[in-house]
Amino acid sequence: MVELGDDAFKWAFHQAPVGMMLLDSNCVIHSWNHWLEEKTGKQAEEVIGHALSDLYPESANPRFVWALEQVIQNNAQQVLSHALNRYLIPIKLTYDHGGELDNMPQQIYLAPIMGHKLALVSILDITENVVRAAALMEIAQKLEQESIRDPLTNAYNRRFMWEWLSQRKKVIVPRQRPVGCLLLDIDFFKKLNDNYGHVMGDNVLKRFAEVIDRSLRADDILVRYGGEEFVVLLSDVTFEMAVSAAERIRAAIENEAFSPLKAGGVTCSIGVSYWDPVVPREAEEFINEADEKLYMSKENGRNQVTPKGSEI
Amino acid sequence: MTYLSLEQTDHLTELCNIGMGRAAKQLSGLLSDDIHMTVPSIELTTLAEMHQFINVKRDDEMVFVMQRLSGALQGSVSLIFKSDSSEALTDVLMTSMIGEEVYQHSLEIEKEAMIEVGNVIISASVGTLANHLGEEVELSVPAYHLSTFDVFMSSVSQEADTEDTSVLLLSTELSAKANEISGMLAFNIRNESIERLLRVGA
Repeated sequence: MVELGDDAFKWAFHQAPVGMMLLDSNCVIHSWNHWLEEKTGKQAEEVIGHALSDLYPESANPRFVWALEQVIQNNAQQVLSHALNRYLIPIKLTYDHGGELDNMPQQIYLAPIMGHKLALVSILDITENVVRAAALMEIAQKLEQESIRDPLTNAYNRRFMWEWLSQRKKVIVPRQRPVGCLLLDIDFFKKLNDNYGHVMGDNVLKRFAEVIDRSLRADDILVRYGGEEFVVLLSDVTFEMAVSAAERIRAAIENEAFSPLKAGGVTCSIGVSYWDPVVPREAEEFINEADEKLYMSKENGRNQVTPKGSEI
Repeated sequence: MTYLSLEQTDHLTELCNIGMGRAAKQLSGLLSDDIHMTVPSIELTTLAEMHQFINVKRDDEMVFVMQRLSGALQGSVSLIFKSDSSEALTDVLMTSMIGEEVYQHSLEIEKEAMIEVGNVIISASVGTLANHLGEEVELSVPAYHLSTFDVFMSSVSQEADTEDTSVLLLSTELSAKANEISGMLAFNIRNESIERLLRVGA
């Protein structure tokens, strides 16, 4: 066993992979380790005897001052989290982390130096943690979006639709919040795919979704229900509003050019159903009713809207 | 030590309210808005019986921030929150710091924020008690636990010598930006430490 003399401990202090400084109750620096010298560019001889707040005015914030007091007067270990404090002393990051970070994010610990009225202030560089957390958050959000959306059109997928309806069902009758349902089907889509190819077909689908989306409000939902079928769920509308929205969309599609087709080259058939806030019903049956009306639109020549209430 | 007299309860409550006031002032700084903290009640109990005063289901997850005490007060102090309270408090603090649009809740952020909040509340409370005693008390680095009440308590009791300890259980109310957040502060300390506290200024 090696007997550790004072100089071994001095080296340990200087060689530590974290910033370490000793401060007294007036924030005056008594010691400043190599990590700090390297990161701040300030040598120990320059800073010792000066108050930290003279060098870095931001450090004299109430949190730090109180924490220093707690450590020196009460021997109570203190933590200044990155989440709530960001950093103690500003240290510019010298390499690129993908743009967002400017100053080194820091976690700060204050510990009492027993027998001396001094505090050990340790600065931990948590850049990697912060960068990793941000990357994971981005991935999580992306995955969540992927699991509820159709990748081609960015409309919601069926899974999301059923979930939305199941939640919405809880308020439709009790809180009088009706829903209108439009079930849309692109007319002669298979023929379009056969004549112009699948790439054109995909572009039509994307454009179709965009045109509908333009006329929707923030609370409305656009769903890709099937290959060339879409559902629109309109929140808090009257039956009349649902029908006129359907007619507006039908007209917008008819008037849109879907290159290389001119306006009128692509049309759609629409069935409309309505969830009356007076009558409890099931989501499947609500969608089925719109489907039946869609069928009628097809039977009656396509490019039209059939609202509920019309009899076959 | 089996119970606190009314006088003793009042005395301790007053001390703890002072401590909480100091903690609230610190936390207000973080929020740039007023935070109020009070101690509506204090119970003297034991580790084994504590659960009676804590209104949770067996498998509810709770947040614990714990610091060990040494010196004039021996034992540990734990700040205890239900997980939705801890989430609410974190959200209030973080949205104040970085704004609602940018802020996204995560368990990592919650952990960081709660360790600091716990540290502030515990330091302020213990500091007030230590000043009252006129003696030195040391506090260790705060530790964070997310677990059920039973799991946490069994780990605390494993570390402590439970024969001679009692628990001073304070309920705490924190109000911040129209949020009311309840928590508990549990001093798991030696009986002789409690007796000391009660003797001074009695």
